[in-house]
Amino acid sequence: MPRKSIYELYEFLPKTNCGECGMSCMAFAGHLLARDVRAGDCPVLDEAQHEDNKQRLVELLGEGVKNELTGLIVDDHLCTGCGACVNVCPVHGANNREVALGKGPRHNDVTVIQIINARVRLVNPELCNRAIPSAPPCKACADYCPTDAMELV
Amino acid sequence: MSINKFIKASIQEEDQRPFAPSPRAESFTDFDHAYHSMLCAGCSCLCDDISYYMKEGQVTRTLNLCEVGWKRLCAVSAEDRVPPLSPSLLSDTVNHAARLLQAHPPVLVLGADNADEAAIRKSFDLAGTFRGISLPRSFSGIRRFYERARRFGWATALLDEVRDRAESVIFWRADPLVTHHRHLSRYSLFARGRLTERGNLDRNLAAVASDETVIEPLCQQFFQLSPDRDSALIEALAHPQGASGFEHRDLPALARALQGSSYVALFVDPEKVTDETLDALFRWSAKLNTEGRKRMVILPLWDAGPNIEGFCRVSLEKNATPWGGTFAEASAGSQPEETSWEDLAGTVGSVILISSGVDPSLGGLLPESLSEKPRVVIDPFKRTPALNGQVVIPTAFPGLESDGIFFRADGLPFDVHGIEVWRNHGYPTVRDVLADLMSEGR
Repeated sequence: MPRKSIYELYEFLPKTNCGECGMSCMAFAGHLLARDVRAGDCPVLDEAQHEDNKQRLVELLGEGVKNELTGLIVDDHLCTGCGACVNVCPVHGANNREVALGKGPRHNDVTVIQIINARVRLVNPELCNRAIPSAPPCKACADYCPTDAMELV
Repeated sequence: MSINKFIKASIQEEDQRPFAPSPRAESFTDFDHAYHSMLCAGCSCLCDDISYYMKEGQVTRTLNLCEVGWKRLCAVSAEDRVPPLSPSLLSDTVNHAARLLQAHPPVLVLGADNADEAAIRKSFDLAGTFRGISLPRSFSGIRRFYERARRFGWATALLDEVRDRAESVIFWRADPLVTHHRHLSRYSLFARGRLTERGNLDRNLAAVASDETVIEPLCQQFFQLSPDRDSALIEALAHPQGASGFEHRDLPALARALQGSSYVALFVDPEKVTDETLDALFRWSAKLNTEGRKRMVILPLWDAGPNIEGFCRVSLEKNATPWGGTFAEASAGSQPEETSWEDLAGTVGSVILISSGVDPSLGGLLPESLSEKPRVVIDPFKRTPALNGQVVIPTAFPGLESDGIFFRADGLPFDVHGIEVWRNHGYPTVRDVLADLMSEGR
């Protein structure tokens, strides 16, 4: 599944390495990808000649907010609430037979993610494999999201 | 640090982490009514695991509902929804509509597949009263599909069996991510079954489409073909050893996957394939099933009303055909059998349109050939004016404001209950309006 890369974001930065943001442009691209900074944090991008690039970066990165514990970002504009992520989550598969069989979790089930108001929401981030240092690295939800609405950074 | 030390340190760190209670679903308190394990009649998946949380008659939260169901839900209490008619105004409106229909026979009742089974029955009775017929919007696809089923025999299955057994799934010009959002996670790809214990890891997914589709990234094999090349692909798959002349980079992989599968599920959109393709698909399925080495089932998956299967069943009972019949069958000596919108336009005098979606651009509008006909619009959605109807009768949302029986995509009936606090919204049900129209028309 195509993912945004640091180089893709770097293409839209001024590439002047002016240091006004406190780092080089390539480092800024890395922090942008991890959502630690926003496009607006680059003062040069505010100049008129870079307006299109700034807009493109905002479109590329979406409006999703990163969950600090898991690194999960959900783009609400892309999510259709299909529930594929809920279904493939290994935590759900291991703990809830009904979810493994295709049903959505019940209202009192303890799950990592749920489809709330037709959008995926992280309800128990501390249960996610990504929040447990000893657990194997997992990105099943993002890998199988058919609309690329989920990103793990 | 060695890897073993790292793992040990991680486990110790995890053990020492203070326990934090999870913000569980029950911690949500902004509701006065909660409904669990409800059925959604937004599409023919009929998901039965929906939770609604309501406060003062408004939905504050839903669980497991996809975008299709969510849009319907929002449309119920949309500000621009046509308000319910008062009893006297409703009676006058129905009377006016009946006179309009009487003056312009024969009547086409279009879109009863959006309502419950009782309303579909009424639509057939009403069509009989006004010397007309009842048809779903996708009547030509249904007709072509069931004609093949009669000719070649039809191997079908419950979706639960597909979930349990299908090792290969092919979407033939059908895209569940556009029409049935939860189809993949509930039945056809991600859900784990009795013999597919690892879900999507135990399945091979292939799709055939004209353009790039949403489902493409999930497919192991994807065939972007024009519809006229479908038959060649089926020939190449049915006879992998023969020299069919069809070449595609994914063909050998799909042929191998099919060879290794004991159960194949084929979902086809009959509206988007040619007659030759349907012939070839049914012949291929019949051949495989007769040989007995593997089972191939065909299920229709179309952009139709949520109760399209209910329509087919009622139509079978009433007309002995699942596609709603024709004017030639309805009245002897009438036009020859209609096969297209243009043919229908030559016969139809007026139209009763039972609204078919939240978004009118998604099949809610009448085709141009019928747009000049006098029409009565029965519409639960938020449209002002509703589809330019001469007479507009706002109705309750089937499955949300009223109860009824809906049939799932595989033909299994479910009793869908409306949300209790919405039953007093004051809208009549579609079946009541159709019954009133019938009694006025007599």
